Amino acid sequence: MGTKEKAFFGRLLSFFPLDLDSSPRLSRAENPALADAEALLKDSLREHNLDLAGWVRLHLAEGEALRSTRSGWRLTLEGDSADRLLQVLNGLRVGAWSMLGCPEKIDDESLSERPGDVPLFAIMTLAGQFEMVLLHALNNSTSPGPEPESSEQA
Amino acid sequence: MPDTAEPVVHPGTTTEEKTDELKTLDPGYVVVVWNDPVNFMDYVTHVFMKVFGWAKERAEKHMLEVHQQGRSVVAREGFEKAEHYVHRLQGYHLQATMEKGL
Repeated sequence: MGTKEKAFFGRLLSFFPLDLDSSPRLSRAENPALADAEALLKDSLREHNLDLAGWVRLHLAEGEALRSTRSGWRLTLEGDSADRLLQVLNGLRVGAWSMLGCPEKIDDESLSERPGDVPLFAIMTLAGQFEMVLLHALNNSTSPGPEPESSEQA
Repeated sequence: MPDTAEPVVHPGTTTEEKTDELKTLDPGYVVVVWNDPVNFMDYVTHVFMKVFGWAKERAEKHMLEVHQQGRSVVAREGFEKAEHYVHRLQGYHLQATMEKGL
């Protein structure tokens, strides 16, 4: 990525996590018996997101995953790092969408009516762009699975 | 053609069979992933492959169910396992819940 892209990327990651104190539901059915389990889910997701935020700080913001090359900056992800980064980027995208009120769609008209939504919309869009690039890279790097043994029925 | 033997019923057998039958029919919980306008289709496929260890074709089939039918049942389990899957899927920010099986 270029220098400007790298700056956007770093700034974007600094917003994670956006929705740390959301109240997740375990079921769509009203069930007071699930209150304890939903409290556990909330704690578990909070811990998971803080863990991811720590990983971002350690490996992406301050680490050596981003290295300078002759043409710009190269992001190198090893092990399950790509999966973690996907979770972070998607967390930013969904978190921003959630803070915008979970709209079905966002257009110029709605943004001009509520200019305060623009920063969240920018986070949602930028995170989506980086997410798509990463998904594309992952799809292209995945080795094909084993060939089917035979297309004929025994 | 061989004769059909009369069934022999031993005392106690009926109760045991009924218990087994109940276990088999226990609906447990279904884990449901719901459609939303924000998660990318490729991302949902990736998450299904990661969480359930599915091949891409199976993951895509469920992703398309979510996209086209509004929801997909991705697992039927007991409470704890279903809860575990919901934790994992929500960790990826998918709209996932567990509902009492029918």
